[in-house]
Amino acid sequence: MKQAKTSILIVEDDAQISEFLQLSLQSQGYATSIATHLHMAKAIFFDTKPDLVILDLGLPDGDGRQFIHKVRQQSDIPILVLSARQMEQEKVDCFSDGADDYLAKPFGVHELLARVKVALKRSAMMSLRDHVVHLDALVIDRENQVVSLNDEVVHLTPIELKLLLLLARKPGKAYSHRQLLTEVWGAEYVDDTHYLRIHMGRLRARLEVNSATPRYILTEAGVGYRLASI
Amino acid sequence: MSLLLLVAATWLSDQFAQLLGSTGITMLFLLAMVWIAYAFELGIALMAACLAFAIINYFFVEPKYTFQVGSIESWASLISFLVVSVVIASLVKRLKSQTLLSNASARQAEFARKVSERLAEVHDYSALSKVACQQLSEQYALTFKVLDTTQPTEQVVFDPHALTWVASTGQSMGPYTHNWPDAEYWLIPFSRLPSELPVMWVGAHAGKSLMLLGTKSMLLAIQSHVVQISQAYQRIQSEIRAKTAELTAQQEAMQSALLASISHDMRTPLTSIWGASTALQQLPNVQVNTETAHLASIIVSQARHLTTTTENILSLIRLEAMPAKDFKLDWQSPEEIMALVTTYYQQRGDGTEIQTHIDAEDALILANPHLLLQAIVNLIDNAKQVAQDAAPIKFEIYAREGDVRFVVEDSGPGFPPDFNVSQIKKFSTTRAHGLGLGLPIVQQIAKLHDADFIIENKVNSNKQTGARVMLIFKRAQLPV
Repeated sequence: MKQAKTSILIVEDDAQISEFLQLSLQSQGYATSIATHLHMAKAIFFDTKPDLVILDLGLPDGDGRQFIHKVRQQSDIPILVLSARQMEQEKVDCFSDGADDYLAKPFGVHELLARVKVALKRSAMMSLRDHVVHLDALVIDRENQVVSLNDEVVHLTPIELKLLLLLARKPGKAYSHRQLLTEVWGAEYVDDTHYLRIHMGRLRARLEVNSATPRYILTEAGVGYRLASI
Repeated sequence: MSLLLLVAATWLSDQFAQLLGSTGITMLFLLAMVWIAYAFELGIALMAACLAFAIINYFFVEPKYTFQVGSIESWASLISFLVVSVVIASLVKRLKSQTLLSNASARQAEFARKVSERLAEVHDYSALSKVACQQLSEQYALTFKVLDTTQPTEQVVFDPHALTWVASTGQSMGPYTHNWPDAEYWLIPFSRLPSELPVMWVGAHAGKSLMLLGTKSMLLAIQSHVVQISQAYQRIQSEIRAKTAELTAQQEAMQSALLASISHDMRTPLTSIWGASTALQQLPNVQVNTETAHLASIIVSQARHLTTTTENILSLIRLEAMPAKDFKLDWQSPEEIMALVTTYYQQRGDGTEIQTHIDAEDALILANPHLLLQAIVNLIDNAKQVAQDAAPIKFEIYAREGDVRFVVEDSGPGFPPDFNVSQIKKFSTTRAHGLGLGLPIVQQIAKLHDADFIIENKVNSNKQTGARVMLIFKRAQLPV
């Protein structure tokens, strides 16, 4: 019943794609609305205040990134970007603009639904404005800057702690290398990604059972890192 | 001629002695001396000055018609005349020589201007060489040839070692230089710094000797023309580079437009097919009907296959066309690459079973994560197609002192004996499915990363037990 109230705005100019997206989402109990143009998307967004936006970047009357900016001025709802372009920089830009997730076309509905579910759950968690992030056995107390794993406090170096607290600001959101390096080390270190690789490796070594199949700190290839959200 | 002039001056002085007085007579002879000094060699001018001194003394200084001098004043006048005559002769001679030099410089400058004008009109190397050699040959009556230092022609006689030396030192050689002064030709480099720019060969026409025809000043003049020709050569080089860059940019733009078009036109319908078929699988009435569910799964499977093939075609085109400037490498942790691979297969959810192992703590490589992931996925997918008895694929990463190795092993029939990566060809496959693009893509990715790509068969107790493929990356040295 709760899911039936969740509304999703699909911004997609291809009628066939938006049709199967609508069918799949409705079959899972979500309410959907469709916008084929940028101006329609803006109008529907302000009218219906959806809980999540699925956004295609290539729209007939503009770039979908404009819509991300517009939404972010008003709301913190999850935005899942769909794109056939697969340009690494475009992906980084979308995340920098405020997108929560990025799915390259073509994709299967299962993957899309899984990502929608994760994004909505994260959004619900964020709305609680809880300063303590619970991820299975990992607990990050952002206010007291304490991290525990399996009920035992994990001692982290100042840089590792800073990195983890930054990721924990919004679990599930991808932070770019640039963002992490700037916030943790400073703007003059934006190109020193090897610092990030090494410290992330050590952080994983402390938190993950198997660093090669991480559970908590996930790599977004070519973009940055995100903290798992469920 | 100078004697006649002195006779004329004597006659005039004799005829108008009263009118001219001793000062006028001296001035008349000085005038004659200026003319003689300008018209004749310095020696003749000095002899004429001495003769004029004697004539004035004999005919016009008291006592006349003797070489005696009656007064100190007369001696002073005569000596002054002699000194002034000698000085005038010397100054006029110097002035004349400077005038000649100035005229020669003007002619040289005019010739240089003509050469520049002609060189400015040419836009390719062979025309430049032809025009330059023709112009210089007409001016200096010598033979000129432009020699390419990388591929010297045999049209003229020269010592190849000398050519190499001239190009590598930027110094000229031949007569009036300190290098091979006995040679019968000059080699003058286009650049005074070591370079691969051409060298100008200068020699006498057949049957003549450069030692006799050439001069030091000629060498200097020719060297200055070679500088002009070199500048024109480098201008043409820049023009050709700019034109090539423009053509490359046009080709890249066309290729990008084509890629974008194919990418959009293929991916959009595939998104619909794959998306719609997976959506179909979820519908309750499809799930309960076995036949419909089976048909839906066939569409999903074929859509996935078509997607993989399309992505491979696009990747290969993109990789082959990828300009070096667009290829960005970044520090990558092998652990993260391993995680990307395992996450990829988890998300794909097609039951691919992979046994992983990693031993590369703190090792980093420089790589593009998307391309490396694509290469490993291609290798694992290839291994999966040939794996027997549902044996899992092994994917291992291990770091050694100087490198990091990504290894995929399968238990399939292996590669044909003596097969190696140099035999990999696009669109060549021994399998029933696929276009044979997987390995060429891996090969291209390895090439872009300057990584080694090795294929070998696993042998156990003389029995082939599968295949092993390796991508070997240089272990990155961390900046200090």
